[in-house]
Order: sequence, then C-alpha cells, then structure tokens
Amino acid sequence: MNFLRLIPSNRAQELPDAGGDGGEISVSERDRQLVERCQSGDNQAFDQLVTLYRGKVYAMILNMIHNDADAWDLSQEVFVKAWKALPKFESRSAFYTWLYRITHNVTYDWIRKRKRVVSGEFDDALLDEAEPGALTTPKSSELPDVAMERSELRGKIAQAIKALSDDHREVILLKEIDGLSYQEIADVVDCSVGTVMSRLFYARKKLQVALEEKKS
Amino acid sequence: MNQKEEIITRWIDGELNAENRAEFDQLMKDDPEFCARVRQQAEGIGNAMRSEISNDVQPPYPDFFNSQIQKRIRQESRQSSAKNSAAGFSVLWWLRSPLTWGAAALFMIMFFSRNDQRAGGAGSYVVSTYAPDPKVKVERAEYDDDAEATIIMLTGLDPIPDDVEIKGRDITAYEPSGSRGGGIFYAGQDNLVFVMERGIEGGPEILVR
Repeated sequence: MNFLRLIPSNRAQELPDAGGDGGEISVSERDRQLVERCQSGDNQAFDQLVTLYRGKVYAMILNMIHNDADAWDLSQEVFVKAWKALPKFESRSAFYTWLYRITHNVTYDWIRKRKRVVSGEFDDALLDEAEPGALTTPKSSELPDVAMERSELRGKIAQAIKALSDDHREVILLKEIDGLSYQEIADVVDCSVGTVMSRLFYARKKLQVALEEKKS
Repeated sequence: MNQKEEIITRWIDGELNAENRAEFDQLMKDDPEFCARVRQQAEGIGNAMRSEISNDVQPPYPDFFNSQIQKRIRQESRQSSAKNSAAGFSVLWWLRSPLTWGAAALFMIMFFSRNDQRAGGAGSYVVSTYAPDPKVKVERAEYDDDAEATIIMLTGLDPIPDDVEIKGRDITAYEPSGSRGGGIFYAGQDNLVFVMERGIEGGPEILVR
C-alpha cells in the first residue's frame, strides 16, 4: 500500500524525500528497504531512518509537551525503543505510523508520570472537563516576555491548542499538522475511528470558541 | 457527537464513504449554509494551525542527536548480550555442574556398556539411569526407531528461555577406553568430540577436545 495516497496532497510533499532525485521510489518503499536493512543488523540504515524522521518525531513531541529539553530526551527514547522493537516490525502498517505509535506511547507515559509529580501544582483535568468556550476555562499562562515575542496569531493558536486536553490536542495535531487519515490516527493512538472523529470534532469546537473569544 | 456532526466531520476531512454519502447529500440539500459554515470554520482552524505549527522541527544539535542514539544502541546491545550470557549461565548451570556431568557420565556408562562399539542405534537399550539431583527424574530412556536415536526425557529441570541458544553434539559412536566407564565419543565418522575418563576422586571426568 502506498501511503502517499492516504494523506492529503498538501501534506504529502512535506514528508521526508524518498527518491533524492525526483522521488524514484515511494516513501513507503524506501522505508521498507531501510527497515529490512536494519533488521539484518545494518546500523547505518537505522541512522538514516533517524535522520529522516527525527524532525517529525521531535516536532510531534514538542507540540504536545512544549519543552525543548524534554522533547529532545523523549525523541531519543522513541528511537531507542524503535530500534529495540524493529526485529518484530512486520511492515503491516507504514513505518511512520508505527513510529508515531511509539512516539504516542513514550509521550503519554511521560505526561502520566509528570501529572503524578506535579499533581499538587496544577490539575490538567480541569482543562479536560471544561465545557468548550466556557468563561471559566483555565487558560495556560506564558511568561509575558515570551508572549510578546510571538506574533498575535501564533500566540492565540498556541494558547488555544495548549488549553486542549492531551487527547484532543494530539488528534488534531495528527490530523491538521501531520495529515494522517482517521484510520492512521486510530492506529497511532490505539482507539476507534469513531473516537478519533469525536475528538477531532470537539477539538475544533473548542479551538473555534477559544479563537473567537480572543478576537473579541 | 450526533449523526449530523459525524457526517459533517467526515465531509470536512474527506472521509465520506459510500454508506454516508447519501446522508450527507441530503444534509447539504436541507441546510447548505450550515455545512458551508462548519467547513469554513474547520478549514480556518486547520489553515491557522498549519501556518503557525510545523510538523518537522529538527532537534537542536541533530548530529549529536544521531550519535547519542547510536551510542545508546551500542550500550543496550552490550547490556543485552551480557544479560543473555548471565541468563544462559543461570539457566544452564546444571550443564556446567559437576553433578550433572557426573549424572550424564553415569548415564552414558550404563547406556554404552550394552552397546556395540561405534555402532549405536537399533538394538541398543539402556540398562539403568541415575540422576544425582533428586528433583530430576528420567521419564524415558530408550532407543526410538523412528527418530533413529536414543530419546532421554528428563523432568525437574529449570525451564530454558526461548532466547537461549543451545548447541548440541550429535554423538553417533562410542569407543570404550581406559578404565571401566571411560570412553571416546564421536560425532560422525572419526570426528572425536570428547573423551571421558575416571577422575582422581574416582568420578567420571570429561575432557573436551
């Protein structure tokens, strides 16, 4: 299955270059070949996969947790776990979907642990339980000097996304930023397509309300 | 999320299937403004997100990022092989145990004492078995014509994990040598594997070639 058909064309061209000189082979075929080389013990092939996907993995984590240093460490963790699990990878799904699944697991493990550690300081559940657009929805705060450096739109979007629950944030990022299909998102986050659609719907609703509030 | 919202969401994301296409067409016919408004809002959010958020951000010090991963992989490999060795040692302790070798030797003594020289195979039989560890029992020890081998089934041994590789010797012939119970063991024609002799304390001793 050529996964280029599964993603919107505007996102497809942003995937790591497959051919080098005009894309002679598809991304999935390139990944498959690299994975096979990894499975036969070729560490250089794995290094190539890291180079191809480190930007996407790092961005995905950074967009979820908003911390450079932790995102760097967690990205490392993702690739080490991927290397360990590669012998069992059977290419039934695309490599990047499989890698995103590992990224999801590593990120959520970290979020869960962190929530336990800081549970006395801040309760993210308040964000999860708040009605979309409710005036009492807690807004995540940023340092004033950081906020001033951001453009107005960037600040609004970032704040609105940050105010989403982890589940809603992840799904809308995978859809709008990474261009994954419903089924691919369901595979990554290990839920049904119906749950993906529901999370997407409410994430958009919350973002819409939050952005309109900021406009007014 | 109701049915109407589900269909609208599918439409926005280009995921309408044949099953709900007709429902959407009806919805579009009934309330085109609603459909257009929801789509516009969703597209606005998507465009705003894509204009401000990247799906590909290189981590700081990307070369160092790669080299650290390679370093960790090497460390993990070393730890993994050390662990496997340790696991192999702990699980196969009985193979290295003098008692086990003693048991094996005694077993072989009994077995080969009724066997033709360098022949083995059909017609041979085990006259007695003995295991020094009382937990280990010999359930079966007899020549199997189908397998063309003497099958020895032991119970009471520790389980061996799947990832432990065990390489065995296919002993095909035996030649008595030296004191009683001593002998030379072969794998194939004239391929000497080891020699068993009586040790200083009177017990069997294996001399691996």
